[in-house]
Amino acid sequence: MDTVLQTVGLTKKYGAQFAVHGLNLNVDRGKIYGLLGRNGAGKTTTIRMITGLLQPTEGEVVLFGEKLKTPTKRVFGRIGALIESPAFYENLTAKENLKIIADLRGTQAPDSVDHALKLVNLDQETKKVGQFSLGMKQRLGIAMAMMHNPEFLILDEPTNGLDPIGIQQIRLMIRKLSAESGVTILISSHILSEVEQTADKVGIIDHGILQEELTMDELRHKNRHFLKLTLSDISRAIPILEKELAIRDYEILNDREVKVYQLDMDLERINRVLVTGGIGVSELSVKKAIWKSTS
Amino acid sequence: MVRMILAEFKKLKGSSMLWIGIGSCFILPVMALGINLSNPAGFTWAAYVQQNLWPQIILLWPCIFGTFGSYIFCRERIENTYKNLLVIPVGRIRLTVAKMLVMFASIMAMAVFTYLLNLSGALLGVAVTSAEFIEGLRVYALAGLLMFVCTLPIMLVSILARKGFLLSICVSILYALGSFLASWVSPLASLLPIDVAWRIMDLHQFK
Repeated sequence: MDTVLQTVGLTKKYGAQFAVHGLNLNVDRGKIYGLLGRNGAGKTTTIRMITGLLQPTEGEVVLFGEKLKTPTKRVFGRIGALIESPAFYENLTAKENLKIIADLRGTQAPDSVDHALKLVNLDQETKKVGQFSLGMKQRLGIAMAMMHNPEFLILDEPTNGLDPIGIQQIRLMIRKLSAESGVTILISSHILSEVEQTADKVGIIDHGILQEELTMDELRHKNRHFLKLTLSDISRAIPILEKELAIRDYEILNDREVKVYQLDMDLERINRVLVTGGIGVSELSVKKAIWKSTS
Repeated sequence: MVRMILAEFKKLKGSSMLWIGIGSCFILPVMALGINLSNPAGFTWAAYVQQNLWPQIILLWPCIFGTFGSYIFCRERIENTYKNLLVIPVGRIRLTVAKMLVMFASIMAMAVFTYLLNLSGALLGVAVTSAEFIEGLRVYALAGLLMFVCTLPIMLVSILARKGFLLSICVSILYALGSFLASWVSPLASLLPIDVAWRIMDLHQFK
């Protein structure tokens, strides 16, 4: 599989504090990679290092097979990025802002600005950007990242400030870009549902460390709601769960605790069957998914 | 580089700083008109424009050009648009050079525009020949060039301080006032760029 982005031991340290530590990311061509983590986990710091805005303390970034030392037009002409909250010249209109960037880039098609604005429903706006809402600025930021048809799109929390319809539109656009144009996308978020509906692969980052990389199926499997049982005797309880309650989808945590992923069970019946079988039940509760909202 | 310079000019469109810069060009010519209208003193063209030039150099232009230049340099950081440029990528040195050239062109344009506004002196009966007009233009253009050099320390303070725009305004005003006061004290005056510029202008006044 062709890799568009690879980070090797990527680290950023501020004094004694690690913002990002030993990050090894791999983003495959044509796929959508979701970088999932709480606020302050290190997502934006990682993206800033990838885009050359921040010098890593250690490690390296490899983009399109080239080690990134300083940003070059050859490599960065193939990237579009929306980093943190989008920023513009507030005395200018949306079109004027994009035209300045297009002119500086020098490689864009003449109608690329109009096309990008149309895609995010800002083509009819004549107001100055200073009068835009947060959602409008966010959409303009996405337009700015996409207008030169990059091969690799980096979106840092792209749905921030958007209403539900706007979020849906951005999700559809991201999936369409990936499916139809083969654009590789790195999207960061602290909301699992955002990543769940778009990404092919997820990297979970916490305290600057990449905890694990999973496919979406693996993540969904790990992140399901579950029934937590704390029992007096797991070894006797498991045969009861399997035979009398037909529970097959479970995970033993230790000698007292078990997670049951079949949530269509009657809790009273589970409790009754276990107690009747001589098993002490000290906890029987439904637990919520960890990454529903990680902020 | 041409694209970068044009982009810098486009960024100024509709900005309040642009209007402040243009508006400042009117101050001395209008004041001179107002002061002398009721009692026209029979100026020659050279004397009229020279009398308007001195307060521009020593007080007004350092404040206006310093603030204007700080705006050009600081706004990327204040408005957080630097990241948009660096991701293109636009080199920091090339960006700085482009901004310096735009600042220079803007200062020269304002200096020349201020000079042209002196033509309002015609209302006071100030007459000008084409030779005198060109000579006056040379003097004001030289003043603009010297003022560009004199405001570079303000730019440096703005860039290095990494603070907001307000600091640049305060530095510009203190720089101008300090130069004005120092102009009365000969040894001190030879140290400050604005006073040195004025003395150079003194040597290059109307021939």
